[in-house]
Amino acid sequence: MLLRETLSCDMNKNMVEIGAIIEGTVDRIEPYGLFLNHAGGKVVVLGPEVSWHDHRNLRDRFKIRDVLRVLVLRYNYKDDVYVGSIRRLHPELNPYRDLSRLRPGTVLQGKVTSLAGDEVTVALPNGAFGHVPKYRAPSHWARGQMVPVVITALEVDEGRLWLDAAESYPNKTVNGSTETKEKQAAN
Amino acid sequence: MENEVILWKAPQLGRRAEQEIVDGFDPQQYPGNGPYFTTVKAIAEGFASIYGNGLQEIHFSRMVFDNLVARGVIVADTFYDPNESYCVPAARLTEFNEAMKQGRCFYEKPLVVI
Repeated sequence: MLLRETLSCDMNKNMVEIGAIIEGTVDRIEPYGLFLNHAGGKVVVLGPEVSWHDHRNLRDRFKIRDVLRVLVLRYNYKDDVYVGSIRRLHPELNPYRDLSRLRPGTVLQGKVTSLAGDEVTVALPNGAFGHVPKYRAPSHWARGQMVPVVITALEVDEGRLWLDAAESYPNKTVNGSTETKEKQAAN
Repeated sequence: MENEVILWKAPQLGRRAEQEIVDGFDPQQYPGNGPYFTTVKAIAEGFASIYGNGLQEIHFSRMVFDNLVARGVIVADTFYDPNESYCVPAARLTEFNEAMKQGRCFYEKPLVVI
C-alpha cells in the first residue's frame, strides 16, 4: 500500500498530533506522574514535566477528576500512551528561559548539589540546575558549596543546562566586561 | 563509543535505596515493568527533586549493557528520547541484579539543606 493510502486509512484513528495542546481529566496519580484521560486515550505527565518550580508530592497538588491542559510531547508506542507536559505551557515561569537572556560568559553563582557520576550538578538560585563535566571542575568543589560557573550550552524548553567552572572558562564576563584568557594571565 | 554506561535511578521515598544498591532490586517491590532507569543524570535528578531520596548510580561496561539489552533484560522505552530511558521487567530482575555485581554501584544521599 502506498504511504499516502496508508496515511489516509490510519488518520481515522483519532491520533492526537504531537505539539497539540489538549485537555485531559486526571484519573490516576502516582508518585512519578499524572495519568489523564483524553477522548478515551491515555496521557501521562511525568513528575518533572508538571512544574518548573513546585516539587511537592503530586498527590498533595492534584486530585482525581481535575481537568488540566497538557502539551503533547510524544507518543509512547510500546505502552500506547501520550507523554505530555504541563510546565512547558508556562514559558514565563521557565528558569532556563531567564538564563538564555544572559550575555555569553556571564559568571553565575550556584550550589553544588551532587558529585555522583562524571558530572557535578550545580543548582542556580532561580531553580535551574546544570552540569559541569568532572574533569573541568576544580577538585576542591564539595556538595553544598557555592561555586562560580558559566553556561556552555542550554536547551530552554527541555530544561537542560551544561556549565563550566568559571575559572576554567576562557572568556567570562565579570560585571559586564569580558575577561579574556590573556587578561586573566596578566592579572 | 564510550566503554561504560551509567544507569541512574531516583528511588521513591520509602525505598531502601542504599540497600538496593548492595542487594539488588526486589521483583516483589517492582512488579510488572519493574524499575525504570535513565542514562541521563538530569532526568533522574528531576525525579529526585520530587522524591527527596537521593540518586542510585549503576555502572556497566558497554559490553555487559549491550548484552543485557540484547537478551531483553533491560528494555528500552520511549517516555524520553531513544537511549535515555529503560526498564527492567520484574521477571528479569534476578539477571539484572547478577549483572549489577559485575559493575560498580553507588548511592548518593539527598543533600540536606541547613
